[in-house]
Amino acid sequence: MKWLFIFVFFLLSSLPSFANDIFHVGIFAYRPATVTENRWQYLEQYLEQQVPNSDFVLEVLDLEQLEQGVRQNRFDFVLTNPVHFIQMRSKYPLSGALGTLVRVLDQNTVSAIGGVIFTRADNHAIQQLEDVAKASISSPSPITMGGYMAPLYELQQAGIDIDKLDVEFTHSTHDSVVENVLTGKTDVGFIRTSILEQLIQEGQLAWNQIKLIHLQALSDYPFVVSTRLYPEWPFIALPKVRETTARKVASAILGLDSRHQVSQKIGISGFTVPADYLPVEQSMRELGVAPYDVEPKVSFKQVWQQHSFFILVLIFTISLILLLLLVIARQNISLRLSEQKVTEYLKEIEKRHQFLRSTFSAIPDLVWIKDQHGVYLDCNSRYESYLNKSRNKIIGEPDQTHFPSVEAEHIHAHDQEVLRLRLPSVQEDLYHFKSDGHDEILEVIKTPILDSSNQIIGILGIGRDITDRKQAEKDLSLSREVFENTLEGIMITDHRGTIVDVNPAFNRITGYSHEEVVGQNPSILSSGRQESGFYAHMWQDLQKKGYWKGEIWNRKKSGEIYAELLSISALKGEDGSNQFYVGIFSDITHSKQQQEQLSLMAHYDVLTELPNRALFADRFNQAILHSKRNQKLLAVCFIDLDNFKPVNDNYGHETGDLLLVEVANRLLDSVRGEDTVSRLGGDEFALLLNDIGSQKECMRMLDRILHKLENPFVINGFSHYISASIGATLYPSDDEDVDTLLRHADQAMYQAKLAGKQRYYLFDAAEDKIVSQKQLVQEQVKKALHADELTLFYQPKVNMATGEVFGAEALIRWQHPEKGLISPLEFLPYLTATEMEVEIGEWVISQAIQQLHEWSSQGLVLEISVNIASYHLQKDAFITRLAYALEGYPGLDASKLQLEVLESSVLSDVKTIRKTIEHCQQQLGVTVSLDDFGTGYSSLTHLRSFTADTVKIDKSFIQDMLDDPNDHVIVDGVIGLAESFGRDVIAEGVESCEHGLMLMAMGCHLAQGYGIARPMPAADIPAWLADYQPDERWLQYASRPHSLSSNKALILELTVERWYRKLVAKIQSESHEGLDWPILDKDRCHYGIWIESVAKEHIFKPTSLARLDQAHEALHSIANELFALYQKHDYGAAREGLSRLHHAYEQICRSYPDKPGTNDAESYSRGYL
Amino acid sequence: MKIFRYLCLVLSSVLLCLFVACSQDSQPIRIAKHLWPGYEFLELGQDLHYIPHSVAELVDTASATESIKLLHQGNVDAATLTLDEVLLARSQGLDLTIILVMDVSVGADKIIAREPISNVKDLKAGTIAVENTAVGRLLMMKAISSAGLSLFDIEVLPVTVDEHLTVWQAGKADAIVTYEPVATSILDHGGHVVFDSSRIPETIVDVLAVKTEVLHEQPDTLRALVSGFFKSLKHFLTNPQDAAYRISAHLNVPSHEVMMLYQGMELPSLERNRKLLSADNPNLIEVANDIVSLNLLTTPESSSNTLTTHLYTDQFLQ
Repeated sequence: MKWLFIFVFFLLSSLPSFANDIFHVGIFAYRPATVTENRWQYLEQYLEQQVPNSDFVLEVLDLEQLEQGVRQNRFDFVLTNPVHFIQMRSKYPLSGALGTLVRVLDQNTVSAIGGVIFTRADNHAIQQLEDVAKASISSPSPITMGGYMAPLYELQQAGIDIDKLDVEFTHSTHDSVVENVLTGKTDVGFIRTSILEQLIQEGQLAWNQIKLIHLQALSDYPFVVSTRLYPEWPFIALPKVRETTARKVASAILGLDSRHQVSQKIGISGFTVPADYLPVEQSMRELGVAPYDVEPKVSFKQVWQQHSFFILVLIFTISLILLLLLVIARQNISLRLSEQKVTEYLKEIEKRHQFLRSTFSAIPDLVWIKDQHGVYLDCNSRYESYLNKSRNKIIGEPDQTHFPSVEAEHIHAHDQEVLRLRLPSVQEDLYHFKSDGHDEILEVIKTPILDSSNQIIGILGIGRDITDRKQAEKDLSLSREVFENTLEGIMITDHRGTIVDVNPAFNRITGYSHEEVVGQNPSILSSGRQESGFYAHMWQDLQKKGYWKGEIWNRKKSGEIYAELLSISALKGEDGSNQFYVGIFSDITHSKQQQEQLSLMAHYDVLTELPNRALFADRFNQAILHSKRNQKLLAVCFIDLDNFKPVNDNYGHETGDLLLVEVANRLLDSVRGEDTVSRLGGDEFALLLNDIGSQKECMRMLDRILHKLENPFVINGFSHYISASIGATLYPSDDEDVDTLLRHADQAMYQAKLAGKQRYYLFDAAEDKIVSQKQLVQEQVKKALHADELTLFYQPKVNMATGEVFGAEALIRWQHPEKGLISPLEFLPYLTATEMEVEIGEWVISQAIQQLHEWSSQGLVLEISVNIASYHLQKDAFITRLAYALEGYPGLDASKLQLEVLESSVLSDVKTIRKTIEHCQQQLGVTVSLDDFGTGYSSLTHLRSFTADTVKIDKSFIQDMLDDPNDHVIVDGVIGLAESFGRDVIAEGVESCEHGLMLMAMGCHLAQGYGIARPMPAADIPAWLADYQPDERWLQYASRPHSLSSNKALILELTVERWYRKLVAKIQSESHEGLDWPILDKDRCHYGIWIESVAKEHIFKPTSLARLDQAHEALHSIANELFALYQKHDYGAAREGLSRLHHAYEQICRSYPDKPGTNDAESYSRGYL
Repeated sequence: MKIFRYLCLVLSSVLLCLFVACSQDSQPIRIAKHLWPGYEFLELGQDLHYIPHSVAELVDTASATESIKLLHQGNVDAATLTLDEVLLARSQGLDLTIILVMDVSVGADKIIAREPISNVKDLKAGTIAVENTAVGRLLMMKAISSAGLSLFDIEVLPVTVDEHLTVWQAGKADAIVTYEPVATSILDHGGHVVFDSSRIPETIVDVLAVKTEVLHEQPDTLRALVSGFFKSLKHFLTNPQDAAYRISAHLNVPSHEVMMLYQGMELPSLERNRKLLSADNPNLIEVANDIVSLNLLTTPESSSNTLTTHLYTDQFLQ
């Protein structure tokens, strides 16, 4: 048992040690490893105490080993020098320093480190920094701050080239450097601060053994130092260390201060908060050591700042050298160019020589050169062939060798003559060629050759073949003969048209001499009779075809005008363009005159010499162009003499002819020069009046002509009185061709004759068109009638009070096979006052009667009303034909047929119509109604004159009466009138229930309109009747008796409701088009007029009226406000105001005096008039 | 032959240029400076060879008054002065131009009072020791006017800065207008701050003022000087440990206290200097006009406005 306990105890006690974390701390041995290890072991123990459950293993290593450990991620913490820290940081992931080491010397604590530069005390060669540059240096390692980096930086700052330093690294401790210097191995040593002090303290060194270089005076820094100071060693945690551990370690090391036992044992003052290692980094960067040994990026600006002067000098020098090179290059090129020029010049001379030689031989003329004594110096190939000798044989010999002696003598004498005179001589002669025996006429020019000093050195001979020229000269002289002697005039001009030559015949015909015309333009001959485009046309032909032929009127020198037949030919030059023009002409004036006479006969009337119809047409076509250009009118008139035939018959044709001539003269006197008077034949004349400003002007001219012709014509001592009828039409309102216009004028003349002769009549083009349109429609309707395309629709008429349907109005419809249903408005107006209208009317009547018969046989008792046109009603046969139609259905109740006569139509012949109506009523038993009542001018008169059974109020009044008080007044008036005259009254155009109620309140109970039924085919009527439901409100109204005041109140209610609805709809529509505003003037609206009217009649109590008046005012004030908003397009605000409007409207609804008060009148009244 | 002629010409002109470039005169600028942490970057620069002795020679003086005297005598070319001292010197006929703002006091200039005085108001009828300079005066005037007091309410004891500590130890004043490093020493001997320059920002500036003639004669040297100054300032900011040891040697304070001396002081960077000395910045001129209006400068009225014209230049800030 006891052993077991011990075992368990051991097991348990050893468990925590298994659980302990092990942390490796790497420390750089800057002193011998044993020294360092001895000192730093205390930290190991201290950390284990401070950090529970941990084992710290300290490893003191040189730099290489230390870095290897970091690389292998073996360490958790590292204590090393700043340079090494910076280097490692760039290579491996390290977290920041936990703390910075603080050293101590004689109670002076320091957390800064520097470098010491020293030499042996007896080395006199080295006194200051500059001397170090030449000395051999010992340093512990490149990766030490004080031992290398700091001194190096100082040297660099002093301007020493650090790359040239002779540094030897011991790769050992700082102590080794001191040893190297002391043993004289190197001159200078670089070590970190505090080493010397420590060595001295340890007794290994004495101050007098060494000499410090560049010693810095830093007030209370405890160590000797030669450089700037940097932060001391960092204590680094590696990233793998957990943050909690790192914190504990940090707190532990920061807890060490100079008084702490552990610090004292290690020989440090402890650790302080981590310093900023920026200065170390910057120095390393400036030194360019690893990790900053990459080439620094040098900006141009930096280079410029440092070396601006040298850069400028460099640029300047380079530019100068470039300039010099350029100058040399230029000179080189120009030299080469001139060399090239000389070569080219020589070549050119050779070429020219060759050229001259070739030219000499190529000359087609004979060329020879002799010296002053007559010996040949040179000749060309032609001369060789002339002499039939080679050049070699010719040269060097005198003429005596080549020609017979006499000839040679003659030539020599002539040569000598030329030389003597020193002038060229020209001779023409026949030369015989010995080579082939042919002859040539040669023009020989001999010229003396002079040298530069003007001495004769020879004679040059040139012989040109002029055989052809001689022949041409002969031909030319023949041409000249022809030119001079021909009978036709010939004129030659150059290409500009200037006369170059004319022949004698020209002089004879024109009277101009040669001198007078040469150099002139042919236009001096111009007569001015040719049209403007004539010459342009002629030139165009000449340019295009090269010739022109035609007749032309020219003027002689004497001024006499003559006709010539002219042909012009263009003579082309070598370049193909026209060089000369030759005009050949003969005088054809005589034959021209004959031709003109013929033309006159073709275009003119022989008797009166007025243009005939053909010329008239021609003139008209010209005048039309003129009219279009000037925007003026053109009148075509047709004149027919009124009493000409008796003159011819009584006095004979001669007298008649003379009269016609006189008439022609008077007509010519009456018109202007540019107008045309034409005789069409017999006693018919036509006028063409140009440039008419207006119809009035035309009429004035026609008046003048009529007046001129009224004067007596004295022929052979007898006075003759004739007159004329004139028809005229005006172009362009009558835009037709000349024949149609003449026909129109003829028609108008006929009208003038009809109207009593001796007058004029203007053709009306518009009227003519309407007439033809009317005819067209009539024909179409006629066809439609026969094709059974016309049909009758029926619109029911009801009694609103009883709900009874008592009749229907027959309305005509045209069921067109292509155009569909055509409204009567599209064709009936064209039939007004025509036979077709009558025919249609009778068709309608017969259809209606047939329909009445059909319905009565079906048991339907309905009245049918048909519309009768006034023209139809006035027909004599109307009554008989109606009676005949009725006779076809003997059992028919004729009173069921109602004739609707338009109120306006009864105007035309009151008497006849009244008779017809009365006859229809009394004899035939049919009823009559006055249609569209109210639209005529004297409705009251009609009502009195005609015994119509019914008055039909026009629908235009009915439709608007709810909105417009004026229409309401008319309707009210018509109802009153009808009642007074004992007539029935029916309203058409009842579109709604309100219209009906209003009418009933006014006393009209019969109605038709869309509010009841639209027109429908007869076949649909029975079904409609079966379905028809009378309006409930109408029946309801009729079921109770109504007082005047309650009717008044109803009218007010209806109109106000209508007004309100209209306003609301408008405001909600947000559109300026479409819906109308109700009447917004409070005095002109229904309501206002109503109040004014009832106030006069004292129907209602003043208190209730006052209330109504107030409510009315309120309603209008809101309405006007909303109107203003709406006009400003503020639709939203306008709509928002509707609730207020509604409120005011309801206020009015509550104020209606629907219950008659004691003072209210009891009597019945139709309305408020 | 022609080419050789050209080449000779080129060569000689290049040599000439080089000669001219090398023979630029490089007499050092002599700068009078007295003890003030803000001026220490000049010393630091010399120490670290940023401002070589070929560029500048520093002449230590006891006070600004002595510096101005040296300027008058022509012994120095430039001096480290406060803005008001520059104006004073100009009013005495010295043509000085500011080329660099070395520091701006934001609390470094203080008024220290001894117990039981707790605020400026309590100084009524008390004695205030003050250097007879505009900075001192300005700070004092601003302080007493902020407390609603006037010059009639207090007794003014003019004392130069080198006597501040002795005057204080002798108990000759109830309060003293002083600045670092004397302020720290005085505070060590009992006393507390009742007012400082952080209450009047951008008013007290320490500058490097150069005789205007030198401006034209040695622009390159001045440029090197200013550039060295900013390198030195950078060293101070990036390696404060090293800088502290070096500055402590000059100022005679322990190295760990050096950084505290710069409390209450803005050290304007190159960029900040460019703004402060920009021709568009009216601030410096306004402050200068303020100082002129204190009427401390014994200058005729008429020339008072010329004191502030061409006061500074930014041409050496590169």
